[in-house]
Amino acid sequence: MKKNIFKKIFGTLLIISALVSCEDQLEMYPVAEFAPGNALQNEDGIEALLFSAYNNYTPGSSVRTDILINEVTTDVGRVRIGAVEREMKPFMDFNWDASTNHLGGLFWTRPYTAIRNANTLLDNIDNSDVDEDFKKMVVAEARYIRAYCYAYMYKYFGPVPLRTTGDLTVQPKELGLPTEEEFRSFIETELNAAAQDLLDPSAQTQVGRATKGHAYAALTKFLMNTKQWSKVVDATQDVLDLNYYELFPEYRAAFFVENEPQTNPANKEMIVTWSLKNESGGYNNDYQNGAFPPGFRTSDNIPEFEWIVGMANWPTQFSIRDGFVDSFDPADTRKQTIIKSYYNAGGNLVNLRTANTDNSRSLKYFDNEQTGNFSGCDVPYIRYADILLCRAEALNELNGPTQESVDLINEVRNRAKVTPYTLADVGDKSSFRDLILDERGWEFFSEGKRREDLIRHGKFLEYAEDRGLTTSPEQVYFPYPLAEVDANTALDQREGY
Amino acid sequence: MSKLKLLTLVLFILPITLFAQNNITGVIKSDDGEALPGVTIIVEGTTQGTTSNFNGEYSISAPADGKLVFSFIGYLSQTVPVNGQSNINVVLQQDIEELEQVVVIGYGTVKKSDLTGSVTSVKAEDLNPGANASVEQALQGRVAGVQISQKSNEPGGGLSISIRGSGSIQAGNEPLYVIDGVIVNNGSVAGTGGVGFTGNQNPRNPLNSLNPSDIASLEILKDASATAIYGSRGSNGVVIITTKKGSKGKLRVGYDGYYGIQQVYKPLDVLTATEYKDVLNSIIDLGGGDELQRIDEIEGGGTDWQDLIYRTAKTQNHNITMSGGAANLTYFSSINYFEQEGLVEGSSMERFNTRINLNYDDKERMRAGVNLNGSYIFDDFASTGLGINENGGAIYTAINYDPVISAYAGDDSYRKSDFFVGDNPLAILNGEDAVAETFRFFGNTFLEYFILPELSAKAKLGGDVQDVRRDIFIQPYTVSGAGTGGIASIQTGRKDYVSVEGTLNYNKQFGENSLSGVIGTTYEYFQTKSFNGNARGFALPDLETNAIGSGDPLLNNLGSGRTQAKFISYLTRVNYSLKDKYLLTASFRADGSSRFGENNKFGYFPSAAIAWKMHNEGFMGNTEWISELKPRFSIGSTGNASIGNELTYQTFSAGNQVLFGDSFYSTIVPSRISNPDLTWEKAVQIDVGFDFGLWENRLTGSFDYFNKETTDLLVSIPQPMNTGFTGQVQNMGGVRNQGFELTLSYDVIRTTDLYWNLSGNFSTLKNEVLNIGDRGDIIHGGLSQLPDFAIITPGEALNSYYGYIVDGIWQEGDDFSVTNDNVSPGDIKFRDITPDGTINSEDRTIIGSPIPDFTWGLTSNLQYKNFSLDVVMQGVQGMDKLNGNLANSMFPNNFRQNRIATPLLERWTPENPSNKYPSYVNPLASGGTSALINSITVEDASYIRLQSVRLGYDFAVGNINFLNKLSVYVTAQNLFTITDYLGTDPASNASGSNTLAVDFNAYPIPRTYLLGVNVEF
Repeated sequence: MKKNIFKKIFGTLLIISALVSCEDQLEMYPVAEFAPGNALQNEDGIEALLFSAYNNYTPGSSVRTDILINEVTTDVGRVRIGAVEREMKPFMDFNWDASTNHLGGLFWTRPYTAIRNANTLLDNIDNSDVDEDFKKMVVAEARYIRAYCYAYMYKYFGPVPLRTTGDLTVQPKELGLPTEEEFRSFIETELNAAAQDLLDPSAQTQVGRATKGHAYAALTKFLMNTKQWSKVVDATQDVLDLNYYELFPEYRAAFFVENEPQTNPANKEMIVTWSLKNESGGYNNDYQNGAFPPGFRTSDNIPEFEWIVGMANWPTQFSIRDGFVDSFDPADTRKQTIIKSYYNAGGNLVNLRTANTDNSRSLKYFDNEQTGNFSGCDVPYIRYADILLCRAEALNELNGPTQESVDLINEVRNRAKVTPYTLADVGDKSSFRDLILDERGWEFFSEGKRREDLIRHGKFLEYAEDRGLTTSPEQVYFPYPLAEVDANTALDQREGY
Repeated sequence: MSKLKLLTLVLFILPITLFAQNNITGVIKSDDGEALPGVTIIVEGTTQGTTSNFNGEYSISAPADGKLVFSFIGYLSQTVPVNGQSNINVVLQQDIEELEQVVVIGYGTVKKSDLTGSVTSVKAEDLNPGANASVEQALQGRVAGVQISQKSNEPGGGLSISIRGSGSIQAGNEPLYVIDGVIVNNGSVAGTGGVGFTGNQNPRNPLNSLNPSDIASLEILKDASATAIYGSRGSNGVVIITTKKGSKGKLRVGYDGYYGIQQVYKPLDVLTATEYKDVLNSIIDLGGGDELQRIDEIEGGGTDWQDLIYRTAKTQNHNITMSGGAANLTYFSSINYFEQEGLVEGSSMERFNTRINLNYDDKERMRAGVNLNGSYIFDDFASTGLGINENGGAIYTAINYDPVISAYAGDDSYRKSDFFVGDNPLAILNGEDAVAETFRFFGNTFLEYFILPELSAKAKLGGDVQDVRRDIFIQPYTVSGAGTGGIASIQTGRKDYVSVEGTLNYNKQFGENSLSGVIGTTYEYFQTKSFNGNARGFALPDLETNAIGSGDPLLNNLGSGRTQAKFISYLTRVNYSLKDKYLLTASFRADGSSRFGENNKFGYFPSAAIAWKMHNEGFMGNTEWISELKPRFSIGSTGNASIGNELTYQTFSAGNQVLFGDSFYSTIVPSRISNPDLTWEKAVQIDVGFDFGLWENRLTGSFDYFNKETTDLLVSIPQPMNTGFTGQVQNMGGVRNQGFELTLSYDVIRTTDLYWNLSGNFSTLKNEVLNIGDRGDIIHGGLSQLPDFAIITPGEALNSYYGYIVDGIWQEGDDFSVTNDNVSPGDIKFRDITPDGTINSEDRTIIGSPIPDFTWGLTSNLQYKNFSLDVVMQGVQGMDKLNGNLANSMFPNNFRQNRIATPLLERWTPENPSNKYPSYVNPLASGGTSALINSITVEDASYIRLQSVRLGYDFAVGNINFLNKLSVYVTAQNLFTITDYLGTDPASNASGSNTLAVDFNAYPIPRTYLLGVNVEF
């Protein structure tokens, strides 16, 4: 009897434990994610990883914030009312600090994420079994993206930790600053090397994917911001030698949706450009939503566009400062992009300048196919006009005014239908320098270039003081983001912050 | 011969040698004629005893002049003098009192009087009366230490339930639910969104699929002694739900049902059209806003938008039950229909539910049972979520829309504001539609075999399958859908859960002592699958989601996901009662889970408790007014395993697409920095308390002090962002919850005709973050352009509000030299905590706590003859809440948007220099983005609510043959709420989290009136 009972007990226990005994069942690899071993074996996987680097390299719809920060800190732009004013106030008032919004995201984490993805590709490409030509191409693209991102961050922070591999045992998480020299040399070497293997602009079918033009143009901008003038002359020569880029005949039309390079191949002005689309998902341009004044319908300056119900018109007001608007030559066709009056919902003509000071609007970007917040107007980052003006500026810095540099600036002025300069008009090196800065303002407003141009010309803080602000010398750079400094013990905050 | 054997021999021989022994045999039966196995028979005054066999037969030797004591759990003990008889048959009477006092605990039951832990048992009849979609609503205010608040008042809306506070930052804070012994996989399945739809952030309550009328009792396990048997999932407390069973006898058919109407208790008090015009124009006069936004006329008398979107809504419930039993089988079945229309047009919930419970008990060797629950829920959602500006939902836009324009334009199309970016609220209601259908099937089956009367083996199989399909369509005439040709989304999701459990149960009485124990093992599998697709560009939007393929194929988007997890566990518990005075419980569980990192696959959770039934002590013999006094102490360790399924693995995931020109391309990204050390959160809880009953249990109650420390919290630790990763999920830091709980029940009047009981509960809670490791404070919570408002910092309550202190308003004649900010009279004067002359993020400080100092509930139950009157009140004291709509009113995104009336009507003007509310001329004068979070917008949200009042009448049916019962009642819910809070509902929380609390566009509280009937044949 007793024996029988124990048999039954043990029998039951055995059955129960058989059900559950396999503890190795507790290993459950996530079924909706890719294992590293499989993901990066073939071209499709490698390309998908490369594209994720591109995805963080392009700002997408944050390009609006990028433009604003680079202009509300200058003599060009300002923002009033609403949530965007709250975001931009520290930049407008020159009282940003390490915790200010966007420093950590847009200017730091986003490019570093692109760098991470590029590094992951470069770390793993040799373990994969892909075609050599393919390999050479994607390696060049990854190196371009990585160097571009470092050059981008340099504009805001100066040199930043130079992470060149995703392997945290090789480069620990806590990574300090490189020297200025190491940082410069890395970017220049990488961009020049990438340019060798990248496609010619004429051969690139996917607008936005890197070409030799991308590498040389990004290099030009970096060399400008580090004032390495003779190297600028070389780099711009490399762009010119591609014999591809040219100015689009009409200034305003260069930005129209129908003239984006993917639609109109005749538009060969855009070198580095951000593709945007009138769809949700972070791919849209929403700059114009803030630029539309209250109840906007149409404006005489922009006959191509009519605002219809269903398009967003944000309560916030992205405006252009009166001083800048008034600095244009009255004949300058570029000024037509800025509106000073408009017809509202009631059909009345409203004068923006009388309603408020600094109240004109830039409508460089618009899309008749806009739905809600989503406009698909692309935003150029480096145009051929920029290369011409950079070359003019570098030549002036090296040699003072010459016919070559005056011709370069006149190429841009002629397109804008303003009287070209003669060599006599431009005066000496210093006055020509000022003219070039002015020209850059008129050419590139609403493209997010003003801050770096003023800094290069030493006028960033001066202009801010002119607007009644209190500034201090360290403000030509932003502080490293608080979250980075807190987490990265090898990085000390920039002096002064 | 060993000493032990010798002793045994002596013990057995001694009585024989001292007394003349008779051998007595007999059969023991219960009062319904069944033989009772396992009955303890002892000779009174000795340790000599035996138990009855499966046929109820026993055999014992006893002196001819002795007495036999027959005792069995659930039956009244009997003492029978031997009087020289050799055959004594006994019929034991069921102890009704005793039966009712059995409390369900994890993997077993225990007599209430033998409880050692802190367990609150709530019977069905003690649940809150009224229209309750789910059982948690019916528990509000009922249980000390359990804070339940309705996060959204929409029909079937989500609730937050915290038992003894919240201990987690990132892992879940919800208790574990167990229905009829099986854990339920209680997540919500399909998302809350849909392209273009502003869904409520709080998912529907998954327990809507359980009909509250099917519940027989609920047990809330609070202390670690009670919850540790659930190991790594016990730290947030456990709610055990037991459904109704049939009882022996003829078929009983019952119907109960009610019908009622609901009204908006209190819409948000915003400016009327005239007030709006006057206030905004006068702000423009003083230099605020924009001249282009001046209001010239009020179209057609203006529009009260909230009035247009709210309605009087109906609710009804019909429930038919059939139950009975014969021989060894009892059965209970129910079918239920519940409908609740929402107060916002276009929102509602309908439930069809059925349950079958079968139980077999042959009273000898076998017990078996099947419990099945099937439900179908149809949810209709109004767009009432968190979105702002053009993404605003119906409530948001109704609160904020220009009140000076008409609702419709001349041609019957919706009138759109030229200044406010949101859509016309009516366009949103009519043009943005979302519905969801949920099928949920859960149940279990078990077989228990008695190897010995005191030893059984039990196998149990449980399952839970939940399948949801959510359809969303956005019409092209709405702002969200404009230019898209309509947006259709279909989201489907499924959640599966399987559990297999085997236990051995032992239960034996040794004289005055008893021992029971359980040992077992369980296997559980969890899976969630989802699929979603959306389409745009419909030439004809009429077919909506019924023909999603008729959209433009180039604009289609697809997505899917799947996660899974496993748990393998071993558990054991022992309960020992010594002399019916000293109680001891010890339990242990080992949990292994696929969620835990490879270096930490198994967790171990022990607990122990002691209790002392002082009232059974001899020295208490004289104090007859004390009927029960039982001090208790427990300590134990539990865990929280709601830590995500994939965090320990290094992988690549699908990333956002990249756009080249006009074409999209797929990407993959490294998913995370994995953490192979990741473990459950660990909680150690101490509980000291006592239960008492005085004056024949006229006054009963219990008191507890608890201290629960949760450590190894799941936190995303910021990484140097130059790695491309912003954080890694690690175990770090700790939170302590401690408090007192008091439950009292007092029979004020106990007479035949009149009975009046008052009962109440009161609990305090002190929540304190102990440490969060080396990382700095966590400041987070920002949503819908409200900046981060909550801080996690050592020494303060979890997610305390963090912002500026408002010292008043700058006045003419103030000394403005103390500030560098560009402030003028009429602007808010924030306190400059770091006195540097400017208000910036460093001037933020703790300005409130979302966790109440104490909560209470009070219930009055009055019966006079056939009438009954039940009143339930509840209250929350010392709780603050961020009023997002107030922040929006004071710091508007649009100048031309409506606002909460009081702060605008009582604003600072040169003529009326208020020191409370600013002039709103320059809302951003100082403080920057953080200005929105301040000691005005973080309000005292304490409240007292008359939860429900029910008046019932029981007809005397004694002389009607076919009727067992007939009663009718009227119930009113939410008759009033007393609060200083400016929003619609101080309890609402839009964040989707239980600990981060913000009220934003709250769905209004329904005031409900019901008429109901309850009949049984």
